Amino acid sequence: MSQVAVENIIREIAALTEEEREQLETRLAEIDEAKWLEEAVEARRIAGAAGIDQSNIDQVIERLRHQ
Amino acid sequence: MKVFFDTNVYVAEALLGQSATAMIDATISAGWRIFCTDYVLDELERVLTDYRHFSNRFANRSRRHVARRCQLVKAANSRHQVPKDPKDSPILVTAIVAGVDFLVTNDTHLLSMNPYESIRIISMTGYYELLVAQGLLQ
Repeated sequence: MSQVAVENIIREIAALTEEEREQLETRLAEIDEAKWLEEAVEARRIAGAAGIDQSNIDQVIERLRHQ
Repeated sequence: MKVFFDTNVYVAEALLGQSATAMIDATISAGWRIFCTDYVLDELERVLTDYRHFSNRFANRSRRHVARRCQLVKAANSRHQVPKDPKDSPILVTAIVAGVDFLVTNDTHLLSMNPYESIRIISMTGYYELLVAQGLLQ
């Protein structure tokens, strides 16, 4: 998408009413959530192949929290 | 009920699904309120990217996924501390500020403080079993 196209969308968003803006935000959140679900399926497949389990997650959090 | 999930729960939801997903979904379905803080959301992103198997985009999207379902609380300066591990203190303090009933974590230092004031500090397994016992999860 070109910079011009992005600017046009931004202008259209700026012209929305409050109600329309809320609808847009809700719709964008739904799209984002659907994308997360898709990506989580793949992430879980990769995690399984890499041997990542709850114990490993707990250890990584413990280590990073103390860096 | 009010619940605060530590980072362990959200990373497990993203990478394992299964019981972590089930307990979060059951909590929401029960009408219980979930509280979170930027400290946990930052840590969630940091842990996911630290694994190097997962993209920054997925880490960032996971942050938004969590934020959509919780009420964000700001950690304040507080006398409350985790003596054995001060790095865990922001988790405890935020849970206190939010006034939660349950702090769900697999952090051993936090778990060793259970109960703390009116907060029950419980492991992921313990919380899962509690939901089952209450008929909120099969």
